[in-house]
Parts: sequence; C-alpha cells; structure tokens
Amino acid sequence: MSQKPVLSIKDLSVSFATEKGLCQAVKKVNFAVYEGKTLALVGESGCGKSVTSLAVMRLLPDLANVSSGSIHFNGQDLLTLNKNSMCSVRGNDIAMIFQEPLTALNPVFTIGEQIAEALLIHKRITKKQAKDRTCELLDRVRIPEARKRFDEYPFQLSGGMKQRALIAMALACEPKILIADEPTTALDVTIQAGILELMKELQKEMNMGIIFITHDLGVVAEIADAVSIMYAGEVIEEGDVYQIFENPRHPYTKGLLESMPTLQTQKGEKLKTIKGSVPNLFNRTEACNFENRCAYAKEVCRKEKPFLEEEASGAKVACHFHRTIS
Amino acid sequence: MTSIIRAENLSVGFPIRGGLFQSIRSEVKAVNDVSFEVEEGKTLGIVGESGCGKTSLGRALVRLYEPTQGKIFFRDQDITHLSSYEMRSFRKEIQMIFQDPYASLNPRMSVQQILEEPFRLDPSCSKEEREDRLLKLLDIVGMDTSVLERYPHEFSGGQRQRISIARTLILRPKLIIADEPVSALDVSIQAQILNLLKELQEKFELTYIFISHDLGVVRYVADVVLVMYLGNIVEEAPVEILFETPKHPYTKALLDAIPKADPRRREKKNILLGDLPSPMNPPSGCVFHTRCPLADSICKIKKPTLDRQPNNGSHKVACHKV
Repeated sequence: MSQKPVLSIKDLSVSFATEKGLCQAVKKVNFAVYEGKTLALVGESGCGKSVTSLAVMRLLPDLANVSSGSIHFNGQDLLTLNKNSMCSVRGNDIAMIFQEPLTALNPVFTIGEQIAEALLIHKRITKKQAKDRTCELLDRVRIPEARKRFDEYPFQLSGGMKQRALIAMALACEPKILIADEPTTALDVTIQAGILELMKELQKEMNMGIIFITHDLGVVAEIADAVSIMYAGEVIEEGDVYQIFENPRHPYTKGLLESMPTLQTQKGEKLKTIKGSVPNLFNRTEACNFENRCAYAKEVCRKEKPFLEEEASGAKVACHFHRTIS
Repeated sequence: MTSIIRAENLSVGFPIRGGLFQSIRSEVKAVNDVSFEVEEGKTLGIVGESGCGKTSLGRALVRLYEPTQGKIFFRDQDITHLSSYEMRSFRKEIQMIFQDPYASLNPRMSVQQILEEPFRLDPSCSKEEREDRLLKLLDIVGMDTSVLERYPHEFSGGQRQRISIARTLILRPKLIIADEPVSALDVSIQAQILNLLKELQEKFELTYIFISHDLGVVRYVADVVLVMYLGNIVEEAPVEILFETPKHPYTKALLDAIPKADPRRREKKNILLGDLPSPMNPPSGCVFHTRCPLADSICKIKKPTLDRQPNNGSHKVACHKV
C-alpha cells in the first residue's frame, strides 16, 4: 500500500510486573492503520489485543510497562507525549468504544451531558452549541427522539441504544482513529447487525481508520479490510481479509476458522478443535508459542521462534512450515 | 417415540412489587403459554435473544422457578407441584449445566468435594461406587486425577466447564438442561466442549435441552429447535427445516443477522427496526408486530397460534402472514 498510514505501531512490547513475576502480555507487535480502512485485531481471551489498544490510548494501568516500541500518529510518537498533550489527542483524534456499554457509561449523568462533555473539553464551543451538536449526533446514530434522550440516564436505554450513544460519544470530535474493543460482543445478533452497519456508514462518511478488536471471525468477515491474528501476545499472521479467510497460512488461524460451527457445518460432522489451551505468559521460552497445540510441530518449532515473514502476496506469517502446510 | 419431558401451556411470571407495603403491582410474563415435548435421546435447541424467556423456561423445567400456569411432565408423571422432597428423586435424572463456569463452581470447594456433592441426592451409592464413577468421569471429560485436590480458581474456563459437566453427569441423569454452556468460552475451547457434549450424548443416551443465543452452535447440536420471542414460541421445527426454510419473519431476521464467515458475501441485511419491547408491557396481538415487516391490522389485534404447517406436521409457526 503506497498510502501513508494514520497510525503505525512498531515493535510494541508491554509487560506487567506481578507478584508471580514479569508477564509479557504483548511482544513486538507491529501494525498500521490506514485512512478509511478497518484493521481487525483477532484473538482469544488473554492474547493481548485489548492491552495493545489500551497502550495506544495510553490508558494502561500503572502496573504495566511499555518496554519497547513506538506508536506513531500524526508525525509524533504517542509514547513520548506528556500528560497534557496526550489528553488533547485522546478522545479528540483517537477515540475508543468499549465492550460493555453498561459499564462504560456513568450512571449518574445523562446521556446528553456525557456526550457533550467530550465536545466542551476539546472544542471551543458554548454549552448551547454543544447541546445542539450532541442532538445531531444522537440523531446520526439513529437514536429516535434525540432531544428527549438527551436528558435520559443510561439505565433508561436498552443495550443497543447505549452502544449507539457510546458511538456518538466517540465520534463527537470526528476522530481520525476509532478503536472499537469488542463493541458488539455483549449485544444480540440482530442488534449487532445494526451496529456494524452503522459503523461502516459512519466510517465512509468521516473517512476514519478503525481498529476493530474482536474474537468473532464472523464479525471480522463482515467489517474488516485487513486482519492481524494475535496469539499469546504476538501477531502470528496478517493479511487482507480475503487472504485470511480463503488462504489462511498459520495452523492457529486455520484451527480457529475450522473450529467455528457455522451455518454450513454439516450435522453429525465433528468440529475440528485446537487441543490444549493457551500457554502461560510468565515463562516465555525460545519455542514457537503455538508449538504445544500445533499438529505440525517439529523439532525446530521447539528450539526456535519463527519470525513474521512476508510472502509474495503481501501477507505475513510466523510459522516455520507455512509453505508446506498450505 | 417417547417423550422424556413435556410442557403443557407452561407460563412463568415474576411479580413486580412496589408502593409502601411492597404489594404486587403486576406481573412480568417471562414465559407465556408454552407447550412442547422432547423425545428421549434427542436434543432440543431453544434460541432467542436476551430477554426472550429461554433461561426462565429452562429453569422452570427443573423447578428452579415455579411455573405460574401449566404442567410439566417427566416421563408422563406430573412434576409441576411436587414438594422439594418429592422432587429429590427426579433431581437425579434431570441436571443442569450453567453458562458461567466461573460462577457455578463454589470457590471454597476442591474439585473432589464439588464432584461428590451430588451424591447427597443418592445416599445409597457406596463409597467404592462413588470413587469408581468419579475417576471414570474425570477420564471421560479429559482430566486426570491430579485435579481432585485443586480448587476452581486454578483452572481455565474450558477446564472449569469440563468439571461442571462431570458434576452434572455423576448421578447418571437422563435429561440435561444446558443453559448457554459454551457462550463464555473462546472458539477453540467451545469446539472441544461441543464435541464432548456430543460424545457424552451417544455414550450415556442423554437427552439435552440446549439453550443458546448462537444459531451456529444450535444448528450443530440440536435435532429440533424452538425459536422464542418475548416469552412466546414463534416457530418450532426440525433443525434442517428451520435453517433451510424458516417461515416466521423473526426467525428469518435472526438468521439473516448472523455474520457469515465469508468476506465476499457482505450483502445488505434486513435489519430489524427498534428494540425488544418491554416484557412488562408486551404488545397486543402478535408480540412481534411492532418490529415485523409484514405486520398489518390483524396482527395488532389477534394473537396468532402456533399452527402446524400443512405440508409438514413437525414444523409449527405462529404467524398470521405465513
């Protein structure tokens, strides 16, 4: 891609100092987000996808330590910014929506106040203007009777409505990057379909880059342009969405795709599984992280960690045997 | 063809209290006049979105919630009004698996204690017999004996769900009600548990009532599917028929809304408008009419009955427009 990325992450590593020792939650992660495109970060619980996104927002807890890497946005490294300059980026240029719409909203303020707050902080406008703009936004995310909803509290809204309100809040300042951390996981399928549709529409309109974090490959197929698959804190495969679904290279990606019961799975057919579970992140070894669960693992996988290698197609895979497997 | 459990016009309601003396103001009907039966050895899937009453229905069947109306028959015996003492002999045969393996295992009990607790319902079982069953089951669910001394917090979600499945099976029940047993798990672990449930079904000739919001999972495990909306069954059909020729507009919308794992098939969906109406104040007539693309005047007045389709008696739909 010749276009310049809006956000690029290089060699990002994050570790947590815990009582049990150092836990490397994210290790040397690289990716880039382009204008108007959606990058999906995919992986199972504990793979480091949320930690990566929190690192971009500089919202990691105190225990966490970004041990290496850089996050370039708009010509500056976000990791070097001081508190004040980070505040002007956060919520303004880079915004985030969270998984649980219920806990992400403050129960003692009205929906309107919470959305207007972002505007009043980042833009030089009056309260009246902020209110008008908020109602426009509520209208835009298709919350009916926006003027009335402005004065309602979160508990008066359904789950889908709350998530719409959160999207309105995130988009209030027209960010260049939107980070969506499992935004539809807590919602029902019919509501999810509506929210995904809305996000696609708004992305087109505002031309923003989206980092979409999810474990649901069905959702990825609906919304993503590029996909990075994470496992145990590392990116193990990346490529455009067609490459990942039609020609997955890494045994883990293949396993994920095959273990999903879809509407095409035949009855009585056994689901393919990935045996075992995720390795613990405390004692990282030189072996490939997936070695203990991989059907193709050989001697070399136990000795040497594979690098993310670029293929002719532009996709990248971290597996010693990616050529022979597929 | 014998049914193991049968519900007749079953309703479950919860009182809404309010006012100075917490008097009963009205009632939420979580499950409304539902009838169905499950054949021995088969799996009944119950699907629907949150708040549709699927969990209340599952819990009412094991009498964790008291039905407000209707009857439940287990092997032709009416168990609707049995006392908790009389229920004991049935509890051995009907067991439940819960959604969240983090909440359903007591953190202060070791795995051994957890797995032995159900024997309180069956004191006649000898010590050797208990030991024997326990070890066999651990093996079947894919865990070794070293786990017996350990506590729930030491296990991952998938392992905990295996422990709770072992606990469910230890009294050799015939009917298992599984309420979203895989929703809290990652996909790769989910597949392991689904396969395990299928193996166990063959091995012990179990009957499942499988409650889930995930239609992909239900399609994989169920023989017959009930689709629920706001406490009512809107469609009932054998699984292939339901997924290939759904009739009810809600079932169609639900199937359409599932993301397809194929980036080349991103078609525009028929998205349902609006939200689920409040069950405290359900719509008149057909409960789905407020969101239904086909609704007209009759749907607002008259509630449709769950009718058999003329060309296939096992396919039932509650809709005026079919």
